[in-house]
Amino acid sequence: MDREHDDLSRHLDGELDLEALPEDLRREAEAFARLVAPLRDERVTLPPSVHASVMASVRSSGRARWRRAADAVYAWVTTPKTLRLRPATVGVAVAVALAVLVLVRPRVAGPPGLNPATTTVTRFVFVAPGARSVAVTGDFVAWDPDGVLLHDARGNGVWVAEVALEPGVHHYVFIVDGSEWLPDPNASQVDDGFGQVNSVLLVAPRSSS
Amino acid sequence: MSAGPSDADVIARVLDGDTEAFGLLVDRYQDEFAAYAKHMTGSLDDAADIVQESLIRAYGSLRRCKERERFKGWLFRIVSNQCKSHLTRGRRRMRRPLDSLIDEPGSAAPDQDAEAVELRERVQSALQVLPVDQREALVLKYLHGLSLPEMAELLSCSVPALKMRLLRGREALREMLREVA
Repeated sequence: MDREHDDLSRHLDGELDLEALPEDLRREAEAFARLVAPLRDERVTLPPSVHASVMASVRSSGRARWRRAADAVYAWVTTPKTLRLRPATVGVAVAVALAVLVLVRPRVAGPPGLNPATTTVTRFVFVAPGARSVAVTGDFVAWDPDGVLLHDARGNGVWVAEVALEPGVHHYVFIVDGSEWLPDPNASQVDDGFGQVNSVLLVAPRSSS
Repeated sequence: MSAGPSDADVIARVLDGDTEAFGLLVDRYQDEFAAYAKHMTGSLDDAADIVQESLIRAYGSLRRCKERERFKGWLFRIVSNQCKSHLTRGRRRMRRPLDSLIDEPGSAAPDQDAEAVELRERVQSALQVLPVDQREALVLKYLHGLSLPEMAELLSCSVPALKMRLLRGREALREMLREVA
């Protein structure tokens, strides 16, 4: 196999104009352009059924999500669980969730729109040594990409935030360094149906006592 | 002519509950990415499946698209991963001959030049023999007109690595198509 001339490579990489090539290399460049032209000029149009299928799936996904959530909650409530601690695997942001602790605190104000009389302050804890930021997002903040920031008050990689939540089932994930979305490995997890995994949290109603 | 709402605006509408707005993104990108998937897999049927699955996944993960104005690049990564998964699984099905696609809705446009059709088919077949990374580089550079920096960003690899993939891909392509090159 003949090795490609360096100047021809530079042209084909987009770094040298065709006019700058000597005649023999210019012919080679043009021959390669002719080779790929039929494929380059090909126009592909998908049938309308593809659009229809995508949109049908999109429209039904909301309903399907609720069904899956209900199934997941039922399974979570009725299945005995074994706590498994796994070694961290995610590079510098080695992340192991310690726990999601539910703390009932009277008179704790929640975010706007929530009723402090019914909400429960939930503590999210995530260990991520070396992380620059950690946030938690979920259905309780409409999957806000910024989420609720956790704080590493002691600088030891233990990030904590408290969020007032209404009773019920909540799906959430942690966001490390603003881009890496990680489920809580120490909580129940459900496939969201699109290849991603969410963690599941059940907040019990507050007792009246 | 208006270019329509930006991707970021459409995504905001979808996330605000206007599910139907996602159709704008489907219309905007499905054919372009179908061409890419067809060049990668050699099959229009497979390309249609890949694009459909990718768009559904994109909708399901839309909240995870951090830079909404760069939705196209984000969607490309989903399509690219779907193509690679498809090729890795060896899930290729019996392909229809190219002739059977002509004049059907959803097919490649009919080409009057039989010689060009034959060349296109031969180049497409030769592409399928190349390693996936070389094929992907050739497709993006010469069939979709991306620059090396654009490719480096999309594929998360260095420009020198891309140059090497392109060089090896070109040399292999010429070797396979020596009689027509």
